[in-house]
Amino acid sequence: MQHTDKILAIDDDLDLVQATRIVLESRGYRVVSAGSAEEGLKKVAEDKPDLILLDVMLPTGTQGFHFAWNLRNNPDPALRDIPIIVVSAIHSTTGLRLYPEVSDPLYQPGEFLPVQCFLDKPVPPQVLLREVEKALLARGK
Amino acid sequence: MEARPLELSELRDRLRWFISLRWMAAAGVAAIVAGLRWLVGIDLQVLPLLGIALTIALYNLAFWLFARVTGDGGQGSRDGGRDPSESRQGRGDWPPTPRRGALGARTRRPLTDPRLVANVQIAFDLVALTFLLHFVGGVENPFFLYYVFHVIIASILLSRKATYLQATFAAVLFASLAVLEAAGLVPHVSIPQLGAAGLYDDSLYVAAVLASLTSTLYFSAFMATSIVRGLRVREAQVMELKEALEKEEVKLKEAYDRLQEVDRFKSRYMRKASHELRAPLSSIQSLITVALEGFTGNIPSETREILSRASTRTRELLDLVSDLLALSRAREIRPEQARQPVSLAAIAAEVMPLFQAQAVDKGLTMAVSVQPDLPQTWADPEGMEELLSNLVSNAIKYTPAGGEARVTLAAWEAELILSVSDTGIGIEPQDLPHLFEEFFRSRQAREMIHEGTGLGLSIVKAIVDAHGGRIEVRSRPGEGTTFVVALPVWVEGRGLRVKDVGLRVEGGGLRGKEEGAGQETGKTLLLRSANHGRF
Repeated sequence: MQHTDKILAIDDDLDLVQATRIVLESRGYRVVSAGSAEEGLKKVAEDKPDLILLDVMLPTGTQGFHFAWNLRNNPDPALRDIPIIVVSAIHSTTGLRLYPEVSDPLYQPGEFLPVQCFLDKPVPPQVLLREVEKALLARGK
Repeated sequence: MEARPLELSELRDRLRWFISLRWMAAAGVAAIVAGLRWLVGIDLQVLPLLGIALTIALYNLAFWLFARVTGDGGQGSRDGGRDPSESRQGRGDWPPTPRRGALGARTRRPLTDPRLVANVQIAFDLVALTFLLHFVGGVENPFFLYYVFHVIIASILLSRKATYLQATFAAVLFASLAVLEAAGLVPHVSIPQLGAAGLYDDSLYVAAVLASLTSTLYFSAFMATSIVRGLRVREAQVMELKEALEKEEVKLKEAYDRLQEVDRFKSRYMRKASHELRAPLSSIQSLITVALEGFTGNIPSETREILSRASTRTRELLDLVSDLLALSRAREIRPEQARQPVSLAAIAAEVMPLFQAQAVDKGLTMAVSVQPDLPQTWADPEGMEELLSNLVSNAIKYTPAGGEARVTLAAWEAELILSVSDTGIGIEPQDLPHLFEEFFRSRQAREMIHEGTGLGLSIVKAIVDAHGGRIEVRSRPGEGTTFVVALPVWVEGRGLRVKDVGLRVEGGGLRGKEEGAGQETGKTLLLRSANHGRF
């Protein structure tokens, strides 16, 4: 199946962006990239992507969080609601819990950060494609 | 070590107590005199004796009033607190001299030295006792031994020198009484019922009584002051020790804080280094995978083989970095960090599904049995996840197709028992002692699964140790292995500190309690973002 959605990959690791781009473009997605949160916000405004792949760490540690926070407070509803998939090694390197307490049934994964999904690096291509498709499908709901 | 004199505030307390005792003594004397005279029928000179009892009561009233007026007793003393100079006064200062510096002080300080007050009070009591003895038979009445009490009281309250002075005063008083009576200068009062009538002018008897009493007084003074002095020395040692301990405590606290700081630094460094290592490895892995899976076009089979090996080795490195980080994190788990009541059943419910696919692929059965109403443990939730994941992962890895991996959670006495068993390849007895060593992998394990960091069980052990638990392993080669972990049960409201570090929904909003430094930015942001409420 060929897609036409535009995906913004925000990551300071160009090789990783390259690998992501190859995988996504093979399925017809259009890929734009940004190396920092700031550039990411600019690209969001310029390119109006359908989905964002976000590295939470970025160069200065928690830029990704701020990016998500900023985006979700954007006055333009079209931009504010762009789904975000966090792709990061943050969970395994910092022990920072992105998920709520597992013992608390009130929460579902991802409820803390207003994002749709968390993926641990390195992400196998099939997993990436599956999650991207899922997030795009869920968009309209 | 120098004995420290009785604290003056303590002396004041004792004086207050003696004033209370003296009320009872006066009442007691009056009651006993009346009882002996009218109930027992002993021929006593009631009026002078009751007069003495009244005198005791009167001078006690005077002491009591004096204490109130000067602030040496009652509330005044308590309010006045302790004179800072008191405890530093050496024994050489005794017998006491009133501290004029305290006179007229604006704060309500005691106006007199309680040691002087004590000396005066004891002297009064000795005189009263002498008069009492005079009217109940003088040397013929064995109650002259009551002088000894006063000397003992003096030895507790006063300096050694003052005690000997009081003992001397008592001996002189009694000797005067005996001599004056024997010489006929003071009329002897005879109590016929004592059966000692006439002994008062038996000079040998009088001399013997005086000698025995005087020696008893001095021996008592000597022994009591020695014992009290010993106690004071001990007290001083205890105080000194306490002060030293307090100083040490401060030092320890500082050292501990420094250590914590170093620890945090180390921890930050480890995480940073690990991330730095992981990032390029992740990229390598991603790039290789993209090529391997044909996203860049077809590749010759030989190249595929080479890339596949590179991918495996990269995976190994990534695992190693992850495990090293997990191990260092497990060793950093501290009681005060991130601990909370944790339900192992909930952890199992989260962890087990992650292994479902792997188990199905291998044709393994996975079973979880949890005792109903399983109590919680007090733990680091991440650590518990790591612990269970490692054990379950091993069980699945080292169990051939058709086998079973089983997790059991139960409470036994004050412990939670987590057991993970499999029907796998088992562990040779000679390998058991090395199982928790870093990088150790048994020959059988290496033969079955080539890759492996050999850190999984070291991580498990570190987590168990950090939580004050125990781990045991039972295994039979070829039949299977069971790991049993015992962790302390956490009971609400019993001793353990409940630290709310989680976030809970209240109504529509969220309430968050943030923990110390470190991961704050993320958490705070998560909280705010969650309030945004659109997902």
